[in-house]
Amino acid sequence: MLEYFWHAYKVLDRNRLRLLNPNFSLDYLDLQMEREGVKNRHDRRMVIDSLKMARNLDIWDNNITLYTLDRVRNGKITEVYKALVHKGDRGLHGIGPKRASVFIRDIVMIWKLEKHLNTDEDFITCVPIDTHVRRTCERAGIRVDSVITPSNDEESDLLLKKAIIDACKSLGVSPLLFDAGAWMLGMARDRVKINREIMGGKPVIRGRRIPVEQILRKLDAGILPDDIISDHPKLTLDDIRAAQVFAAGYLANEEL
Amino acid sequence: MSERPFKRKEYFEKLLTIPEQEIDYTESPSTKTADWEGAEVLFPITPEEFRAFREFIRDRRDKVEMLIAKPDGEKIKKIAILGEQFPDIHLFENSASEEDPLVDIGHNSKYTKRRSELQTDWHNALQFFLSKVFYDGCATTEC
Repeated sequence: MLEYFWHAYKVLDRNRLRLLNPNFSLDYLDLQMEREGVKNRHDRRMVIDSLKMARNLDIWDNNITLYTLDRVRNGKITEVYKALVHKGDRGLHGIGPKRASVFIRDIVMIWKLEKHLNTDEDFITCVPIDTHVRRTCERAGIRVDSVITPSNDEESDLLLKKAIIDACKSLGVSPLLFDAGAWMLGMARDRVKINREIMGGKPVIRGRRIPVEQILRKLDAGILPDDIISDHPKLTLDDIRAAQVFAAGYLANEEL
Repeated sequence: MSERPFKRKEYFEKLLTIPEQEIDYTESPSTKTADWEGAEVLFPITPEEFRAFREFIRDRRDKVEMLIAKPDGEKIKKIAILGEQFPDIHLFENSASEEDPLVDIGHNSKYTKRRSELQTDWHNALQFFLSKVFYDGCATTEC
């Protein structure tokens, strides 16, 4: 997946000095991306729509991040969400509620802007739902009131977002932090494997046969992640993170 | 819903208006094969009444289920505490793996984007945005 991003980005980078020029043909850009290897036209349209959006953000120096920061700080986070999510003739092609929420959530978390979120609708814009979040919710007893039968996935996600927000608010917990925690657990789940046939059933890094315990012991002994990777070249930094998250999840009684 | 004999409805309606000791169960219409084929005929109710019953049962069941499956406050809090590490682990690290969405073109961790860069350079901001929607959000093709 990442490959498409790099291909698209290479083309953008090559043309970076003229991308904002209204005379620069976006059809030509589309062609370049296709030649570079971005074969899916929906992916290309998404990139072009994002560029068009940046072109229209003159007040914010054509900067999507600055625009988002300004809107969030002024209590208008839903405006960003609506500008991103593709619906009818507005929004960016290929950007659904999940992708828009991932971006907005990260901006809010990086700049610590949660204090600017006032309404449930504000929170809805920055709580992305994926399979991992859904599974974690089930385990944490966060359920959607099934009297309302969602007619599609989007509606189903919206109901779950509301359930998360309600549950977290009643506990005085940040829905964003819960969502991010669930997200991290999901990543760890993808990387840590428990199989009786492998290393006697100890949790290991998937495909590496390196026990999580071994990584944690090294970290505990003060060995830096980079040095652990030097010792085990097959490991990545994400594997080490996954081991840490796995341990944290274990302590939180969150079955992985 | 299948048709049912009118007399059945009369019989069952009568049950609602007379005291229990006066009910003559011998008058009760016998159950025929057709009744079993369409089990609803055993309950002489109209489709509207049936729907009302169904909604009632559904509503009660959901309420009971919701009482049983309460959010686990402790677990939610612990997961949120885990989420506090999210920016440090995934967004701010000095070094980043090649799969990190903040890593610039060339998969080189040296080029990890920082807040200041995202605020000052529109092109970096665009890249950050695209990496979020392509990578974290998983784009239209395979993930």
